[in-house]
Amino acid sequence: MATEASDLSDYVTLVSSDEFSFVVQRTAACLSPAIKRMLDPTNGFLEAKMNTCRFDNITGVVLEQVCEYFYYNQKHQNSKDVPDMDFPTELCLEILIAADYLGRNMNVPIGNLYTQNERPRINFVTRPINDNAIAFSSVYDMLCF
Amino acid sequence: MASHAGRGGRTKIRAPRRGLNGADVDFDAIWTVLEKAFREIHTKNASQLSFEELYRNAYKIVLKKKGEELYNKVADFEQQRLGQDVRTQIVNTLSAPLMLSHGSGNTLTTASERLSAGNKFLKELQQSWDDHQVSMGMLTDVLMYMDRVYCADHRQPSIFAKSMSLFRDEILRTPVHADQPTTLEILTHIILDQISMDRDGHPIDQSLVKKIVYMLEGLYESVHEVEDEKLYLSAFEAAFLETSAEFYKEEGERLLKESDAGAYCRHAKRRIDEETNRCRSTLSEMTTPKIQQVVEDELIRNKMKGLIEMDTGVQHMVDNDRLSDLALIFELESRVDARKPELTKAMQKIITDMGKEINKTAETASTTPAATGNDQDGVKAKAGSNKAVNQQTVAALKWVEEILALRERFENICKLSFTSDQTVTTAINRSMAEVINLFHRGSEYISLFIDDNMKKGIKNKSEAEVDATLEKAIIVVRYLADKDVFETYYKKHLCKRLLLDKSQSIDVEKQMISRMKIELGNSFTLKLEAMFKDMTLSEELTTGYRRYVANLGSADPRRADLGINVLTSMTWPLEAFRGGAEDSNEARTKIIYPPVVRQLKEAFEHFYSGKHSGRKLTWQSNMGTADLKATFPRSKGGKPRTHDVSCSTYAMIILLLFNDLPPGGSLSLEEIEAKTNIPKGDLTRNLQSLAVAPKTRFLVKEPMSRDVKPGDRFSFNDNFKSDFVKIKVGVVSAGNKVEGDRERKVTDEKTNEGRGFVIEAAVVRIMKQRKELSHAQLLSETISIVSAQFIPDVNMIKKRIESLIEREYLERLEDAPVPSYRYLA
Repeated sequence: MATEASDLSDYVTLVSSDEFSFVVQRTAACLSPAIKRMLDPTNGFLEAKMNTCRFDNITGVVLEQVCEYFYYNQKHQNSKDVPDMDFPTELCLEILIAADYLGRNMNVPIGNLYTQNERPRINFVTRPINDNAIAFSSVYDMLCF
Repeated sequence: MASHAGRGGRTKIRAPRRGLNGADVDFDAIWTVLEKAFREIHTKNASQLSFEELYRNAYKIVLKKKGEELYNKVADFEQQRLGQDVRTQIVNTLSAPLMLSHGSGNTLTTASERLSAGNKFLKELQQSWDDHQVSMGMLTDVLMYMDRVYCADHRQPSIFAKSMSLFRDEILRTPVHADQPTTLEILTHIILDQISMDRDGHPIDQSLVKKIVYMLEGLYESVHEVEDEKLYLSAFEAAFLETSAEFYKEEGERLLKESDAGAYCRHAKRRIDEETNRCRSTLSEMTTPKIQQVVEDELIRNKMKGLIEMDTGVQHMVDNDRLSDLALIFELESRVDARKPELTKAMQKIITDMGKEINKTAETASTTPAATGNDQDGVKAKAGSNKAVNQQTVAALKWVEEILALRERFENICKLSFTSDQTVTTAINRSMAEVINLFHRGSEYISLFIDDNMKKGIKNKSEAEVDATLEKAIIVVRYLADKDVFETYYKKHLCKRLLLDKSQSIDVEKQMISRMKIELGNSFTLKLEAMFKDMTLSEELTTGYRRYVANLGSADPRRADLGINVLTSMTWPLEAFRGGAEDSNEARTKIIYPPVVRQLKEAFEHFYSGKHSGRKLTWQSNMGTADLKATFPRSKGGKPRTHDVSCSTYAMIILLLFNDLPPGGSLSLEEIEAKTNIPKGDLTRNLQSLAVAPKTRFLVKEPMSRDVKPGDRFSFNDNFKSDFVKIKVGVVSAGNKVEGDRERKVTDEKTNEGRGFVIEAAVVRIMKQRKELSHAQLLSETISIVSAQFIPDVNMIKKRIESLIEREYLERLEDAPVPSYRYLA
């Protein structure tokens, strides 16, 4: 489902490591500081020229969730008491890593880890949380290494 | 969209892909890629680079905990680039004029040469700075992950901050060549040079300088980027302020010598505005308050004194009514000090000087004729007109008018030039008070001024004008410190006005009193009001007496009519009518009245004691007037001539003596004195009016001379001739005039005596309340109570306290640490 990249358009293309393409609204995608900088025309990197970002370390499954989150965030940007967005639990670690990679300002704040019905479940909190570096790194260290 | 890894029935967390994160990272290989990319970025050639790739590389390194290595590598890379390529480029633009100008002064090159060379250098520096910032921005973006994870965790400054401080160290802090100033020093010098060109009127490239200043503002002393350690502040601003201070100091001194004060003020104002604009357009807004401070210090604060004392300074401005210039000076000084001490001081001095001048004129005017004043009184009085106001009185009126004019002038200046500023107004008022109180006859003169207005001034004036006059009078009164002295004089003058019926309008008199009541308080006007009350009562009394006499039935057409004023002795300053000190010693002698008058007197006494028992009437014959019908023997071929003569009671008594004398008989001065008991001074004066003044010469004096001397003989003037039926014999010392020295001494003594009582009363009142009080406290409380009426003399208070102790109102406390007193009930 790859789409042609168009310059100056409102949409940008995000390409996963397994060659899935997602066409996303620029404003939504720029939630991630990394993507924002990649596409910054003043810096003039290749991505900005092509209007396309390739992510060699993010798979399509994960990237889809990320894009979903972009829109979810945009939709609820100015509202209060937004319900948490649920991710497939089995993807949580990969999403965590992607979120870290794309910049934690992405407001995918990394979540409360808790036990419910005797099975672990990571509930991604979509409310902006200012600085959860500690929360994140502990989860990250626990699970990744 | 993309395929979706479906959720199974049983949830299993997928492990992250190992391949990427787990594999070993070849640091050097990755660094080589990054370094190459960085070079591309620095040459503005980033379009072929994939941000994601670089970002991922940096990410990988950091993930592998090699963030520190990466950080150091980048720093080294930047340091090398700046230290070599960039610096060389910048140093190359430093041309000879710049280097020379730094060392050996500006004389060798022209301003425009220096300007263009400087601009070249500034441009290059600014360009490098811009480039550095842009590329470092991109580098930082690429290294974002490193900044986020490594720098934050290890408390390292971000790579951007690091590279900025590298720029500072490598470019600015390094000497251009060995043993030569650093780039920063040269830079500072160039900017300062350009600013001084700007001040001299050479146009400079303001936006370029502004950009460089931006650069300095963006750099900090340390990597921590503390807000008040901007390089701009530490390296440039201090030097800028210092050279500015020097420049303005020199300029201020030059201008003080060369131009006039008004021009100086305008220049200073322009310079301040200029510097404010310069900060906006060329330097930094941060500096605005500081440079303003410098200019204000150098051009205003340190020069204010000189400026005010210039030939064309404040004195000149006041003299020539340069209100706008004064306003300028005021504006300038209020910039540096809200209290405006110099201007205030100068204004005070001017007022004091002008006031002293007025005082001096008044003094000389009043002392010159004083010697002859007394002798002329009689003669002038006989001239019998309002012109008899002597020179001293004129001087008094002139003094008040001038003081009022002075006050009005400065009030005007205050309003128009000083925006009615509180401090200056207060200071000016204080000086006015000082001037007025410096003049020891102030109280008397002001009272005279009011007196004159009451008698003549308000004639034919509208109500508004009268009001204005009263207001003027009150204004001056307000300044008086010794209000008790004023009260004494006012009472005296008012007394004469009332008794001699000189006042134009009793209504206005009463208005004046009520104004004083508002200004000076109830106690001040109490006695004055009592005087008015006495007058009203006396009028009623006179009517009552006349009715009583009429009812008596013994209507005797020959009976003399009597109008009487019964005065409360305490409220009326009766001594005002006595000639001077001589009389006060002589006990009030019993005047021998002619039988007609005595009869009248006794009849009234009888009537009065019938009305009020237990009151003693003391007759003040020296204040009365009498109307006589005088018949002169027919002259050759004429009928007997009758004249209505109006004269003082004494003159009446004297004239009546001659009724009993055989024709041609004469009396000597001594005989008259013995027969009448009139005090000698009054007698002499009255005889002078009757026998010397040409129009009222009812008596003939032997020998004929101007002065009345012992042994002179008087006889009735049969040949008196006058065209008028009604003749008024001049009443001696009827007008209110300036006191003679002797009179003043009496007044002063009386005032002092009165003050003594006031002070004693105050002390007793305080002590009664406090029981025990230290000396110092008692003094200060007494002063604060009494000062509403006059400024007390501390010595006098001490004496009064002593006297109170002697009379056992107070006693000294023996064991008190400070001298104290106790009240003895």
